[in-house]
Amino acid sequence: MRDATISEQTVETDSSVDFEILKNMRKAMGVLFVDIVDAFFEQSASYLVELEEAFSSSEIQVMERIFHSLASSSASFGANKLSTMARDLEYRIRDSGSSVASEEICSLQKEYLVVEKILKTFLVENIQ
Amino acid sequence: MKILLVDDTKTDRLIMSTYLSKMGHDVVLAENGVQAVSTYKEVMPDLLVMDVIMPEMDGYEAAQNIRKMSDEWIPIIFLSARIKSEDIIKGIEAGGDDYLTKPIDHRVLAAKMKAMQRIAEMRHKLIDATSELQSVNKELKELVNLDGLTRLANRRYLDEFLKKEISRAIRHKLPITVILADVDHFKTYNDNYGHLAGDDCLKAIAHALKQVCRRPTDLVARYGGEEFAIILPDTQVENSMFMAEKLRSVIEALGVTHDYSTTSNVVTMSLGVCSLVPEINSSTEELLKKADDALYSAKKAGRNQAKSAS
Repeated sequence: MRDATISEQTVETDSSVDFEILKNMRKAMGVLFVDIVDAFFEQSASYLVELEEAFSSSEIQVMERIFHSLASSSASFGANKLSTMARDLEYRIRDSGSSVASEEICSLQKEYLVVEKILKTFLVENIQ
Repeated sequence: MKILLVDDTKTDRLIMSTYLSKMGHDVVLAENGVQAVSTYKEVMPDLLVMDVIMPEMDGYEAAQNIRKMSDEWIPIIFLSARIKSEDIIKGIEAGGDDYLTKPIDHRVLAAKMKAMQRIAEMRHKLIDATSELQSVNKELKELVNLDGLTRLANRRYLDEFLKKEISRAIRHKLPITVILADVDHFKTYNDNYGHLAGDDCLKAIAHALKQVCRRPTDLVARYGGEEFAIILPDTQVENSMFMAEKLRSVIEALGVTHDYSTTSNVVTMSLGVCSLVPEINSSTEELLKKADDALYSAKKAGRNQAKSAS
């Protein structure tokens, strides 16, 4: 019954999150899914704070690591757009050694908020 | 399986460890390469699942260190978001065995774990079989040189040992003593008390002879049926007779009743002693022959005594 509800998801067209990945994960995790999403929120929030600090002190190695982790964990939740953005920034620092623009960090933060909202909605709709 | 999971991203660690625990595996966590190496030593896992890009020490370096550190092979699976051909090559060269793409598809993970479980089981079987083989080999090696009944050295080992000791004595101009000892009237003992009692008697004698020859360089061997050979390297001629007499008296003192002996009412032994500084052309046969001749004289002179080769 619940799976039928999931497949009828209307927000699937949203390019920020691949719901297939999300649904598969929910199915595999069972009741632990909520805890995992919460852990993702918690960690991402602290990454974003660290990212701002690293940006203001120009610690590009730290930024690279944060982008790496964000790219990796967001991909696990099907947040492909966020993951790609973070991955691009990570590679840019690694390959060129140059920093990123504040606008790019801003865009990343905005995209994270979009993902967070989608995930929260998903939780409300799929986990009772 | 006991799995060591190494990932610097907390959420990824949580996702993976949840999947693995749900599959029934025992998961131990590490956050980076340095921790991976130290935790590996502590827990000795059956499998290592490790992120490639991590701070402090990346997955490749950690895998190299682990491979260097341990003789035991366990599968290492790398986790990585991007997998290009060069990454795979680098991973294999660093000691990795497989790759898993991030984000993890739990069905692929389950399938890979199944394959790794098979490998781990085979590896355990192989380790068990190898250690069994080693112990059997060790036993075989000992058996090849041992007499089954008395657990003394056998004739084969005696010949090798004596050859070596003669060469050594020639090289260093040292004396060597060969004693051949034969149980008196053993045939009648066996005939009257039975073969089992005969075997017990030989075992008791073997044990007693070993008690007398306690230097690590001495050798007591079973020469044949009821005949024993004792090799005493670096033993002076005068001491050799003293030793032979000691051996004789020790057997007599065992007090094994032998009512059918015409020599004594207990089991006794006759001994022939050959003690000399061997010449360049001395051989095992020559020394054994001299000891055997002396043994014959001891028998002829009434048994239960030691005679020296002339």
